[in-house]
Amino acid sequence: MEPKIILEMKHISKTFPGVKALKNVQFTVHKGEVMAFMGENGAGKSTLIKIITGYYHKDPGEGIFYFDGTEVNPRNTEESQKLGISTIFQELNLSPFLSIAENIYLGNSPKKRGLIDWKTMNVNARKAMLDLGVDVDVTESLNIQSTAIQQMVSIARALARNTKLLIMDEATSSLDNSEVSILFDVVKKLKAKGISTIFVTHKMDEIYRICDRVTIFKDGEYVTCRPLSELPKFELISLMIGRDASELMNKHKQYVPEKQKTEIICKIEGIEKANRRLNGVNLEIHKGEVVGLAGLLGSGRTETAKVIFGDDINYEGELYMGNMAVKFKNPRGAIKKGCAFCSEDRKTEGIFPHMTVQDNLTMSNLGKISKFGLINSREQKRISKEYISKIDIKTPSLMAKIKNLSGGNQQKVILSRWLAMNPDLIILDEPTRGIDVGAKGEIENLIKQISDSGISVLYISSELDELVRGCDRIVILRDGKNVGELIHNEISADAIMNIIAEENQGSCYDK
Amino acid sequence: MTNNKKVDKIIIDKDKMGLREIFIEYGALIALFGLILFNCIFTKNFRSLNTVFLVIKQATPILFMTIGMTFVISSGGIDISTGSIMAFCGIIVSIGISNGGNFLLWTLIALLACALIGAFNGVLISKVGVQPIILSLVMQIVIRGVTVLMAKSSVFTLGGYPEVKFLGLYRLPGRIPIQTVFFIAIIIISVFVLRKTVLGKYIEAMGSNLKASRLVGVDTVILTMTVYIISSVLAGTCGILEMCRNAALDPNELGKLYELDAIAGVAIGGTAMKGGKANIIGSIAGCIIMVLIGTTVNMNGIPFATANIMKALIIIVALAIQYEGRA
Repeated sequence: MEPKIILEMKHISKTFPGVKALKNVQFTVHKGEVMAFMGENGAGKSTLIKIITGYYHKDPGEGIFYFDGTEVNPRNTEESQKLGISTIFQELNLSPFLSIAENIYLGNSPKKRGLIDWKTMNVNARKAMLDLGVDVDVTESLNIQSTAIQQMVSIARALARNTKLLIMDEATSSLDNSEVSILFDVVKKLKAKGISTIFVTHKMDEIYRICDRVTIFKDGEYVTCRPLSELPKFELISLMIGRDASELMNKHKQYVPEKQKTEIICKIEGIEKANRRLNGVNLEIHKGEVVGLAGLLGSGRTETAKVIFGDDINYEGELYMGNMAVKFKNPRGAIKKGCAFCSEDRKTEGIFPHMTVQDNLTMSNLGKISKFGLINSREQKRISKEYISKIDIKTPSLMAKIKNLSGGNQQKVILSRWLAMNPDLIILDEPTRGIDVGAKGEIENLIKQISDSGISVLYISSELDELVRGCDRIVILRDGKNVGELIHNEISADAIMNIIAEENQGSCYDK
Repeated sequence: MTNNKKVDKIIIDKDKMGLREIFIEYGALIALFGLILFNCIFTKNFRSLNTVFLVIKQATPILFMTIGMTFVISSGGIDISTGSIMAFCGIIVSIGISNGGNFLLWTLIALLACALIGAFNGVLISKVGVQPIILSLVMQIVIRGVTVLMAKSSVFTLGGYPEVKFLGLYRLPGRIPIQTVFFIAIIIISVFVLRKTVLGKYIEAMGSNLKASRLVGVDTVILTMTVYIISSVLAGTCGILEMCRNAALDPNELGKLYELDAIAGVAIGGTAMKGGKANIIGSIAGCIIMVLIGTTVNMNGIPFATANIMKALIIIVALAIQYEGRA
């Protein structure tokens, strides 16, 4: 018998100013099914979920959105909740100082003569929590409960609203292992009741434990939808990262063995963080070398970069610049020692949106081109012009506001900002994210030029192809630890994926 | 490549100033000229040099505070303690000179005390993470209290001191009031600092994107302290000038609600209230508008309360123009 379809979406697109976040996406969820959404950051999972929950609207005209047999188009989250779609977020949107019962029935409380019927509410709430296998005093306030219980409360709240489809967006990321087990038991119970779940996570093992099928997205496009029982972990990773193992082109960087012998520019030893995001990362970067940092999301790549750049000062372990052990107080200290850092989040950590291209380009250099705090504006103009022509930044003028430039050109401005400083080491965190294909190529070329000019590069990217093309050496991280290193001929997307997947096999759970 | 050209064209189109941008950039100046024009036509005796001098005399103290406020707001903060700091600074000088102290020396001491308050505000905001509006509200109350205690609730009459007389009443040749000197000096200095110095750029950068400014090597703690020190010292100067103009000081009253006029001046002037863009010329125009509304009302014999209603209307219009809808 064909299972009943609860949610069907076809030809869904979503355009933001300047970016097409979703291109013609499709998927279906059956009744009582647990569906996983997977994809790297920027793949479009969150956008899609926000469309399902009515927070965003799909592009008008095209696209079919069927829920429970009827075509719908929720205008806001309330409408989608009325339809029976509820979401559990990583950050819970509950009211911490209300009781558990109040939270469950917020905006939906049983009433008696216009007043809240506390007795019925508390009894129902207790029953609802017991149904989920949790025995708590529902009159206690929420903020003293553990995260897992709070999670349960939001599920109970969703169920109290007659939910047919539950979406869990990174719901397990703040839970420990036993709490995750409790949550999964609940999901199984819901499944038995015929309630479907969409499960979004980056944790591979959890998907195999709980989900029936997986839909994979990449760069805003639908890749495939497969039953998990027929999809080996290795293949799942390669689909997610967008590389089919068979069509790997091994386009390598020209290998210069001398680079391994040049002086060490930066070295870190046994970097650990109290929150276990880093559990002993070691790294050595030689002069003029491009070192790639690979690993899945949450493997500690960005955290490592922030430690080196002095943006994160709560760590254990040693950091050396040249031969000197250093401990930076803030990024300013790191910059003085010749470090530069391009953040993965250009918008919130890179550009100064309302300022001009010229100001943005010279911001980290202002100290150098000023005397007694007075900016040498001729020099400022000269540097800006030099880089605009040198790396071909397309801007109408020096005085244009940077927010009006395309993503690729913004990124070039930020790269110029650091290059103008002439650093020893430049850390690039996802330098090609959110940039169109043409500009990607230009940025990659630029990175090559940077290393040719003797500047070391620490290159963080989720795009394995990019790393394979651009790096002299690749270090692979997993769970905040080094798990492998590839040099020269060893470098290939295959090899990187093998190392990432190997580690996954170890922590495999039985489904 | 045609695609690329298309993109470029769109970018250029976007950079042309829309009507809205022009209003944000020059709205205050336009409004100021409108107000002057209105007065020239309808207000008796307005068209005289004396009116200009009167406005400058009244506007100079509050201009200092408005400029300080421009620095703070464009850095992403706000400081509503400045009205109390005015009185605090004034009272230190008053006590100093009434006990036979040197005016200049006590002015320096008082401004130093203001700088300390600013530094304290800056540390609490950037290191501890206290909300600027809450902190400066607390400071407003505390400093007012300290001021009244220091003055033992008495009103100081300072007409007898030559320095006070000089700063309050002296006129340069051509009957130009002494305040004109300060008026021009603070305008030149502040425009220079915000447009030409690293400090000015850093302040705008921090207001525009705090995280990014840290990542390009701005010491945000020191910078925040600097900004609040500037605000406090300018507010203190405002207090001394106002005290000299009145030749008296009432610790309970001096500077009350001045901070609101200053914030209003900044808002009208087109400085982004969320920070990131300082429009210093706009602030100056906004400040003069605030004073001129009072003058207009006075000279036309309209009840003074009307001035507040007019101010409110102007502020609402200015903020409505600035408001960026959800893109």
